[in-house]
Amino acid sequence: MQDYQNPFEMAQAQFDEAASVLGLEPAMKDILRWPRREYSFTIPVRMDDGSVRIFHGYRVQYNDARGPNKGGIRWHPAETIDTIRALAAWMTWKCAVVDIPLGGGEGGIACNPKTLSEGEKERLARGWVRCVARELGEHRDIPGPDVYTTPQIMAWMLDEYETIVGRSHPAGFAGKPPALGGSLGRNEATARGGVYAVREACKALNVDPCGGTFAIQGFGNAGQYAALLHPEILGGGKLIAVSDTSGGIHDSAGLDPKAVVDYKRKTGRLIGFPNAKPIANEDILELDVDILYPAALENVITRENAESIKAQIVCELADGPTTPDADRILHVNGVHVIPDFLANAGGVTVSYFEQVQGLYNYYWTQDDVNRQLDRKMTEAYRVVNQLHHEHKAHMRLAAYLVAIQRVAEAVKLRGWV
Amino acid sequence: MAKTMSDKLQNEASSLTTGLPGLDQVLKGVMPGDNIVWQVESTDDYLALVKPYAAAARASDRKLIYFRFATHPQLLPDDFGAEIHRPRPELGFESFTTEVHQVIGEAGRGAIYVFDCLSELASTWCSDQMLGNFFMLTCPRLLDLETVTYFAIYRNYHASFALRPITETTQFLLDVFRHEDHLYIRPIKVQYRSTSAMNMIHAWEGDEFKPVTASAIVSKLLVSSRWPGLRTDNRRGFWRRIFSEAETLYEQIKAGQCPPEVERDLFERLSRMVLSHDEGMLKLISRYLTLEDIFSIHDRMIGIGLIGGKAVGMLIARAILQKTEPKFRDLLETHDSFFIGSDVFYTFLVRNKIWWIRQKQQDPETFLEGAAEARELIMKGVFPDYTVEQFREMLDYFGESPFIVRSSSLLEDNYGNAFAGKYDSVFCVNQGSREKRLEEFLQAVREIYASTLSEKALRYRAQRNMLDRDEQMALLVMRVSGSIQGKKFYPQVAGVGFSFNPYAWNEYIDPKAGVVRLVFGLGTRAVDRADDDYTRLVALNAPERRPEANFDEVCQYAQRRVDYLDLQSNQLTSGYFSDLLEEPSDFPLDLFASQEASHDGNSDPTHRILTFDELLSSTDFVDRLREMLRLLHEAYQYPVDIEFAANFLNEKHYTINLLQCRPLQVQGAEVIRVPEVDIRDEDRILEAHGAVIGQGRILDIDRFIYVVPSAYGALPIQARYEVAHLIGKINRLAPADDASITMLLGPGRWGTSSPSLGIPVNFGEISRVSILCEIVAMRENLIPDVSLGTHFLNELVEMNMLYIALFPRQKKNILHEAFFLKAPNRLAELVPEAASWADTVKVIDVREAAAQDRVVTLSANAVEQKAVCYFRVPSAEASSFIKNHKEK
Repeated sequence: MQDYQNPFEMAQAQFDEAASVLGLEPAMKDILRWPRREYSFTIPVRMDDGSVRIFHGYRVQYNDARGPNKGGIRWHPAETIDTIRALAAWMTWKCAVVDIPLGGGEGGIACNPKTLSEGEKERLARGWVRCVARELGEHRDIPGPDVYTTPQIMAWMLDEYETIVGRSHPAGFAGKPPALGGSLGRNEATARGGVYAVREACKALNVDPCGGTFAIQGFGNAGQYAALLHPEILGGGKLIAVSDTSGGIHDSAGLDPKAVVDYKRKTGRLIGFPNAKPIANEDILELDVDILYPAALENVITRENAESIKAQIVCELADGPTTPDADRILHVNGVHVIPDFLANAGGVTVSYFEQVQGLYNYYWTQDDVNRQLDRKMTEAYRVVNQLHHEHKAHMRLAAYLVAIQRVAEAVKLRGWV
Repeated sequence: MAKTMSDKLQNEASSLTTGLPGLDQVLKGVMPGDNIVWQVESTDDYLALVKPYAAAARASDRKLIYFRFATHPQLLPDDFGAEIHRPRPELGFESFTTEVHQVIGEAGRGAIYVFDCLSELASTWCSDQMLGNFFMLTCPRLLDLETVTYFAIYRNYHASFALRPITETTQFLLDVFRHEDHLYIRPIKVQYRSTSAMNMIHAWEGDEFKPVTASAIVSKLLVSSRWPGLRTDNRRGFWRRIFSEAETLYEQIKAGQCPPEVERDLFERLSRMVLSHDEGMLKLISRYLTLEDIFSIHDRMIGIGLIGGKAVGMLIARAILQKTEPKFRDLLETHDSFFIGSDVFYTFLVRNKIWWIRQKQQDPETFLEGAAEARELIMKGVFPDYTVEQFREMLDYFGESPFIVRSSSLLEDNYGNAFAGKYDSVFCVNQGSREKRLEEFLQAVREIYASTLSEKALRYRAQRNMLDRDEQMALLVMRVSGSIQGKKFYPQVAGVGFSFNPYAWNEYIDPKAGVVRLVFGLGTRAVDRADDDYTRLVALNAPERRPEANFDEVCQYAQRRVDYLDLQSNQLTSGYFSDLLEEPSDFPLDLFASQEASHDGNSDPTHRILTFDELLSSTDFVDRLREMLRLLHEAYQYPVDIEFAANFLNEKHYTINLLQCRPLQVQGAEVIRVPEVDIRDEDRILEAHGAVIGQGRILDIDRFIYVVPSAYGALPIQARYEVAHLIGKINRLAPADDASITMLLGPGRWGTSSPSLGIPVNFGEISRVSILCEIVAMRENLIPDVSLGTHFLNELVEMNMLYIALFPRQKKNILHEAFFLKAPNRLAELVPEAASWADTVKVIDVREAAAQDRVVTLSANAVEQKAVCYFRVPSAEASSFIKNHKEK
């Protein structure tokens, strides 16, 4: 695959590959290749020192054939419209792959939140909503959190929106704190969804999870929950190595996930965990385990180490941990990759549940959330895996095929093409 | 032949004389090695004895050496024929002693010596003890060299601190006094001779010295001569007398009975005795301290001499704050520190026979010789009884409260010196019986004394040509600020502060508002930089602005471990904050720690993360610290750094304990300002006038890792990750304890998640780098924004890395890219599999790239926001301020 500097060009190339497998007609390809609507605006913010600074904000509504647009808001200094477009496209496919009745979108503000005070963050959040409020709402476009947008920021945004429209709209924003209508189970949703997919993959590949071993690279939120939920959901499995930025720990006899998580929370690191051997962060990827969860950074499985990956299943909890070159090597070597936009779709699914709960103003128990998530992820995995076999496509392509097919069907039914 | 030699020796011995045959008889002859100390009432009396003695020496062909250092009339005129040396006591004990001993060493055996009256040494050094020390060092040396020496001291002038060592060491001690126009002598000590003459008074009449035998006359003479044993309290030494006189004078001053200049003179004299000889500090002292302050210090002194830089810095800073802003009178925790004078250190060395070993450390050739032995002797050394008694009194004062013994050397913390951190500070948890606590304290003192001879300190001094500088070690004994929580003792919050913020990582941070690094518990974690943990960096004009963008990151970069004193195990230790909370405590926890979400997503009241959020947002703590730093900065007329601790009595009321204050240091230089260096244009490798984040420093670079901006800019995204991983590989080649200095330069933002804007390394991939430089250039039409180090700010601070932003297209900024492109590239040798990257990544070792006699030096100044990297030829002078990288 050609290497692109522009993330949107990369997203389009991925789409093109799937579209050609699916044999989409030209008009359908054209409409799915581009966002339907884009908003670009300036947000004036009064800074703490009394000066006014103008920030650039964006919202892209990529495709709403399957339902209202849904997608995060990123606050990032390097934000460009092309990054937002790419993420809006991926969100469209992600919603479709888990079959939730929503389209895709994404928004952002070019800013460095690390340099903003709390007051400035609040004014910026409210400013963004004022610029784009008329395009939002649970029946149009539901923003949610993404890079550096916290539950607090979502709460300010919801408040600004409700003030403007003069009504309560808990379903209009996702990622709110539970006190304002956020869903239970959101913190663990990404990991939980990934582990459900792993469970299904084990069934499909005849891997015995109870006797299986697993390792996790990256021990942030998703990694910690994966460590705890893997044995719970699969009914077994032995965690033999984990790593974070400070380094990794390894014990072939098995690490107690709860003890490791508690140690990490107490000490802020993994190194020094009692009775475990140290292991380099990159070596963890090459361990002889049944299941590997890359849960940290982009591009950690590259053409340099792809040949050394011994895991049978790689569940991409992080975004983009595998480079395209490595993806092909893994496919050839028979490593079963659960691609990121399927593996970590648990987050967007619970975000959708949050919208559903907000719409009828009735909130589920954690069990309800887990059960519904299980159902969605199980089904999504099953369909993708089926296409993987049918088209002899690697799993990432198969996931694209499922997603694009579903969006194309909705576009067709609406008579747009 | 044998007979001739014997005759010669006999002749030589017989030529030794006092010049007064009658006196020779009293003394039973003068022998090689005799040290004769005259205890006189005036120098006239001494002169009367010196004249015949010197004349006889001149006649005997022996070398006659006269040490002229006092202010009394010169004993031997310049044309007398004596070799006259003029050592200067005002340069300090160590310099004076060294110079005298150099003369003695060069003169060799058999010389005849005359010293000016030694009493002036005590007055210059303000210390009887130091006079005693000088004598104890000098007299045995003269004995060994078989010389004959005349010394004098004034009668009834010195305390036992001087008299005891002199009496114990000398061969002759003779009392000289006048009564009714007659001069009398009374031998007090006569070594290796018949003791029959001991204490017998002799009257000097013509050429004869006649014994006085009649008891009536003897008693009359003794009473009239104010015999010291009757009249002088032997504990009331020179030092005490000065203070006693000063206090009397002060009473008169207060009563308005003296003109102002008397008060000023007294203040200046006492300041130089107790506080400092440093002119910069003396100016501050005269502005902010009073006579009363000096008397209070004196009341809390053990031993005598100067109290050292750290103690003075602390006292001055407190005085500045309390005198300029009344609210600090209540806000500052009361200090009740004790000061152990610098003379105690020398006395300890002399008494424990460590002095001469220590002298070897003055020679750059031998400075490490014997240091280990000396340290061992120090650790076993004993203190004089009178000192131990005072230590006991101090311990009784503290009871079982913990205190810290801190080095406060004369070179530390003064203007223009960066000696801090080279000597130890030792906590005394101070629990248990009095004797056990005393032993713990003595051991702490020994440990700090031994640290003056540590390899680290000696090398540091050697590099700066300071081996022969008078470096006495005073000690500051401070009560540890904090309270007992369960079985532990610690302050709630502590830290270090800079009045100039070298970490201005975003445009809203005003560097002039200052910065603090906060920790929970003892401040040792902030001072010593723990590499396994973090501190809270607070820009004082913008405490809310932090390099973490969300709570997950806040948790990731939160302090986890806390230093505290364990009252049970009687030691300084550290443990996890969460463990500390399991013990009962009575401080307002919410001020310091926020609740972290539990695994089910709800707030977990039991899991706390040290954020200091409430402390910084709902109290005036930040404002007070900012004000403190501003006032100190203004008074010093220079940026300062401080150490502090603070304790809340309840949610709102707190006290701050100011533990230390000194001019802001430049690492690697013995000066506080980065020196201006004249650099030729062709020697400049880079010059940046952009952001410089981190404390200023001067150091020699060992290795550059240079990512060529144009080559990197042309790479596709995937390849850029490979470059980042390659840098990680090069980084890992260096062993963890590697002390060499590596500077990493590359286009755009280090640590970005968007490879189009920079190099997407994680911190582990650059962790062993000392200087990180972002070149604001990549390729045509793309000029990436700089990160100002925000991707790794916490790590930069904790690891003491320096960040530089270089804008090559801006005026005055220079990047000599040809150097990096042409220099030998070691990449293929170090990472053979990455040889194909040689056009993009350059690994340049300076010793291969620079001409043989040249090094590459980086001089970075955060205050002026300027960094220059240049070739230079190391010279002794220039090297003196270049930090040896082994001390990184």
